[in-house]
Amino acid sequence: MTEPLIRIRQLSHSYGKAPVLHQLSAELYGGEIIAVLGANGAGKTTLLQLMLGLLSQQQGEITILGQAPSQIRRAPQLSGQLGVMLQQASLPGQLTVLEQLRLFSAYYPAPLPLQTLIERFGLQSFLQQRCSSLSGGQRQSLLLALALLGQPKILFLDEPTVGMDVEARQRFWQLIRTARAEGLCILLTTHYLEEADALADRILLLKDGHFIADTSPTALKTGLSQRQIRCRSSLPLNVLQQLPGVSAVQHWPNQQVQISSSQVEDCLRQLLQQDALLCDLTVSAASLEQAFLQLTTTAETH
Amino acid sequence: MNNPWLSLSQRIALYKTEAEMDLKTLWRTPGFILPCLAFPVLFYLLFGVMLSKGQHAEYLLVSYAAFGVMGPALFNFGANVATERAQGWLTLKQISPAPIGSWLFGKTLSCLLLALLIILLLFVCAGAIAGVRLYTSQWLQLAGVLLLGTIPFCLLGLTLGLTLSAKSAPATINLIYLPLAFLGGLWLPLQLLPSALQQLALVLPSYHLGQLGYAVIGKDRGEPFWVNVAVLVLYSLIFIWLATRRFRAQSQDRR
Repeated sequence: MTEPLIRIRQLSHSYGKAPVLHQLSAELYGGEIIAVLGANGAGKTTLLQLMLGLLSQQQGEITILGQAPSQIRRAPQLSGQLGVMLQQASLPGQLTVLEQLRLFSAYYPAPLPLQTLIERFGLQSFLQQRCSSLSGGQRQSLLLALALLGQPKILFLDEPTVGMDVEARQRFWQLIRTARAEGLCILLTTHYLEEADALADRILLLKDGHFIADTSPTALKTGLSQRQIRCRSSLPLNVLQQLPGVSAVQHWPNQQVQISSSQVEDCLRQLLQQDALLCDLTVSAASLEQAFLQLTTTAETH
Repeated sequence: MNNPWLSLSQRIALYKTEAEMDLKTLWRTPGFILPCLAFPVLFYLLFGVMLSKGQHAEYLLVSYAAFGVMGPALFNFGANVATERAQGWLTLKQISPAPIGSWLFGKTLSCLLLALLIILLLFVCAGAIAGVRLYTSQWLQLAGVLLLGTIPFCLLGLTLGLTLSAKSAPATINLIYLPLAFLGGLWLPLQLLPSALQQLALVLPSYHLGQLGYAVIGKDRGEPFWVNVAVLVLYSLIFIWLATRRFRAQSQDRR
């Protein structure tokens, strides 16, 4: 954890006159999963392409393992340290899974042995199938195996679990956690906030080309002022709305209410005092989704 | 950087694997391989053997062989590269540590093998059905000239594949392939075309490929062979330059 594997300094980028990224800075280390979150058009893909040297840099600096991304396409010693899963990559359909693994293994001086790959990524059952007949989950498992077979130091994952069912996604997450345990620096872009919450150690929240947060998912969520109290209560609506810090109350016919409050402890104390029959109580921290929405919308008022 | 990324034997293995995989891909796409093999053979049997009653069997053997070998070169490099590009596959290869030469080598080798197959099929038709008799050295020279002559067309295909979209590539390549063959005198002898078109033929690579072939059977139009070779080499250099530019620009038009 001493030297950052990726360093971004004062990075700005624009397409023609339209600015996309402004003055981004971050340092990414081995052994962490970093999720880049942002709405569509926030600049996630541009950032990723700059890091991979697929776009030429305009302003600022990126170093990947101490080198410029433009070296990736020139120096196998550098690109051999990177594993990449691209968002839209589909595999040529005529080759089988095994053939594809053999082809990619030939790119590296010391790839993981085929048998290890097959076991670790669960490829056995469809090893002889052509890539065109794979399910979404199978295809992504193969692409991850291709990204990791050269034993890279950095793994780039661009929307890796799009089109996967819940079970496949869980299994996929487990594989990514294993890679983190081996000390890889894993950079993930995703639309699924749930995925970022489950996987990431660190979230870079991108909005309009700025990092508006660089912190852990938990910190992001607890940094939020609002939390939710759910319970059954016979108290009338106007009393509930008077409780400390309450910003909104939702209620349902069977006395179920949901109270959003910024001072949830004070609010609870009074609630329990005033309603002896209160039951079914739960208090929930904000979800990452709420944090995401709150942060991206409050930033808009700046 | 002093240590090479792959050892020599690993590099040889890589080139072999790339070639094997590209061949398997081609072989498993009957929609590609069958037209490539069938058209030159059918044309030859129809025009070279049946309609002309074998009078021009020798001349048309060269014509349709040259026409035939251009096909896989233009399409395997053109249409297939355009598809690999659209799938994001090419990008993945570009940022992988594999030298891009191994990918090109694989594609070139499978083009040459397919071209060889076309040449052999036509030779069999010519020898067995049309009664064409050539010296062994002529058969060998003809095959060699045609194989080497596919290189500029591979490079033209590569340039097109790196430029066209996957959807428009097959149609556009046909629009280039068929006129190139016709105007280069590979369907009809040039003497039958209007003189303006005969002049135009002199700048087409297909014409010069044809002439190299006709020279083997003594039916060329009499330019020194180094002129034909020089034009083909010149075209190769132009397409290498264009393809390299397109290849470098690839990342810029992906957003």
